[in-house]
Amino acid sequence: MGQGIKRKLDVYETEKTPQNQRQSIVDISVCKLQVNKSVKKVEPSLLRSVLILNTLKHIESELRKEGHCAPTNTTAMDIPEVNPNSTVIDFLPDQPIQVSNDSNSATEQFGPLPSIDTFVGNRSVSSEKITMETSSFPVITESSLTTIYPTTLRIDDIFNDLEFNIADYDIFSSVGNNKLTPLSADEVLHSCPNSSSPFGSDSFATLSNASLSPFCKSESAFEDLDNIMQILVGS
Amino acid sequence: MISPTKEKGSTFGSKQLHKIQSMLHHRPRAGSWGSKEKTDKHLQNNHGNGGEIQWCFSQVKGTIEEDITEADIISCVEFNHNGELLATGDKGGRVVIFQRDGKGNKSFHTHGEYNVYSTFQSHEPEFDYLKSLEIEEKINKIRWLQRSNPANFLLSTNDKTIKLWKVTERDKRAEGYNLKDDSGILRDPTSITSLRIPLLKPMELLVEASPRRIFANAHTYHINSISVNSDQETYLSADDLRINLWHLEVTNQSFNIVDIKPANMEELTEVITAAEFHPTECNLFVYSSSKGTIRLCDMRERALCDKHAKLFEEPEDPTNRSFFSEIISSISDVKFSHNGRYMVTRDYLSVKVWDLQMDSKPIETFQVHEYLRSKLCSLYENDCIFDKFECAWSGNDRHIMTGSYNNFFRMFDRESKKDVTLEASRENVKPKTVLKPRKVCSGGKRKKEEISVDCLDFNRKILHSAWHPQENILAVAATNNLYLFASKD
Repeated sequence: MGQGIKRKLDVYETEKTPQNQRQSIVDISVCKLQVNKSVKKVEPSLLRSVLILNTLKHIESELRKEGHCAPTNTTAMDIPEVNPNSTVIDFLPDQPIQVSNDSNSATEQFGPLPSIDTFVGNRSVSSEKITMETSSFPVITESSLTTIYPTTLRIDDIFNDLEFNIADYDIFSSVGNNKLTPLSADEVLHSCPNSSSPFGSDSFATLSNASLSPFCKSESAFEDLDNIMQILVGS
Repeated sequence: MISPTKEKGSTFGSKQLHKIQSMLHHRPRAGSWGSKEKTDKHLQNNHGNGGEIQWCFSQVKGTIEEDITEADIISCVEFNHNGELLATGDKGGRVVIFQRDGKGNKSFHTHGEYNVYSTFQSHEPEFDYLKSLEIEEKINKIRWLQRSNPANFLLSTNDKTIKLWKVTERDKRAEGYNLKDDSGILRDPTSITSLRIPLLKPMELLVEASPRRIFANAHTYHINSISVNSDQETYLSADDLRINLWHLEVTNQSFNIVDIKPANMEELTEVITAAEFHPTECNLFVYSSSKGTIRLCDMRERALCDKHAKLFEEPEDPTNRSFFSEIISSISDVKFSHNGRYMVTRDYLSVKVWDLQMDSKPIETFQVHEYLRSKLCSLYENDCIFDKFECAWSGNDRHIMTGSYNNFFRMFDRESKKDVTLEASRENVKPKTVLKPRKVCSGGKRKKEEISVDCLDFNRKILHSAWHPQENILAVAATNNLYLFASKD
């Protein structure tokens, strides 16, 4: 008894309920909007982005009608496009990540959907818009640093001072190779380490966190990056 | 110039004037310029079997290799106005023009064979330094101009730039110059004792393509369509949010005739997906949108055609509502019929024929691959739901064809209401063998010869195809191969 193969919940069975299907569509959509633009160096298709966004909006309005959500802050959902090849460093905002499974989210929350500008067209990166939820950290190059700080900062100096475990940042190698593998719905659903609530919550914020979490494997890594940025910004 | 007919003893009276006036107002029909032969050919194919066409394999162009080079993927196919030339564009920015050889070997090819006529590099990849992005060299569309002189002209476009190419033939060479010898080296002046007149000697046919105009920097977004006006002097180019009108002679300016960009990009919900000029009315054009609507605009009404003259939209079927309803309603192609009375639109699952006089609903709807409706979620996941399929009219406007997956393409007969699924494959490449109809089964019992939906190859899709303007010849692009099919007769 009990020696048999462990039974694994068949993923496809869970997707049959409209709730779960809706959720997986949202997950897939969020992934689509984020991942692709770091992989290709070509401007993403506006048609595709608009259609995905409209699908998300449709689901959002459906959920709203069913009484699930209240509009929240924009930053939770702002997905700015960041070009991995850009030579501008993105600054962290003063506030940390909006993880809505904290205090006040007994209700599921959605942010208003991001402006289409964030995906295409408007490529000017402004510091207010950037949050830690960007999926692709820019490759910090030596030249980019010197353009921002033309004084004596060199990338070696910065990194020498810190316990900086590169291994925690899968993103760097993958961005460097320009090969971000698209996340399947599975990975997104099951990869959020920080979320204490069961993944039944339909929060966009947790979703965007979840979709980004493979890139942020540990909290200490966040603190390290925080430190780096404070050094860069503060000094 | 039109001159009045001279009758013996007649004066230039009002009757003559009326005749001239009606000639001046008569719009030339597409395809009638310069062509001397009567286009009765399309009638010949309709005898006997009541107009139903039996399709046979004719030719296939391209490599057999399994490994597909991305640059070889064909991205557009277009016949010229008499069907003698067939142009294809690929992802590598090249244009290949095929020319139809004479009737040739009767037993092998009744319709004549297409062979390579000219190949040239139309567009190169560019880099937008401002946005730090690449501009692909992929040819999105090719449109031919009608011939008015021995040269052929075509417009080709990538995402940002349109180019007018002149394709000329040279089959004679002058020999016997005085100052230079035949290899081009200057002759010693002291050795020239008499003058001679250079003679034109025949040479091997040389086809040259040269860019005559470059229309650039007019589109912020990706160009999805170009369409030449029936006046053969102007053309439109459409990107996701704007449509511009150009004059072929003027490259440094264009008129913006449609602009649907909202003041606040956050409010953007709809983009332009295709646009085309009416084949005979030079003031009318249509454009389709990602929400499944088509707008007919009249350029005479106002300079900025934001306000449509007609809006074609079919009310949504509530029974088929799903999360993906909007995505699958997005129109990927719109084409006017040759007679200008109808247009056909292609959305993800169907083709619809619209009567220009009726904007409330299409007059005909044909399902292309309804068996995909239950698979929309997976197709959304693998991005196939965003594939843009084109559609084409037959020369007599009776048939419509469009592509599908697994290298299948669908043919619809508007009169008999019959449809057939055919496959572009290298199996059975014997010419004059009638193609076997294919069938897809969506579930349950799979009959012999049928293919199940789950076995379809979604990487082999037929997005681009063209129908000869007069005869029943089809050019179908299957990834990196170009197939030519012809009717049996």
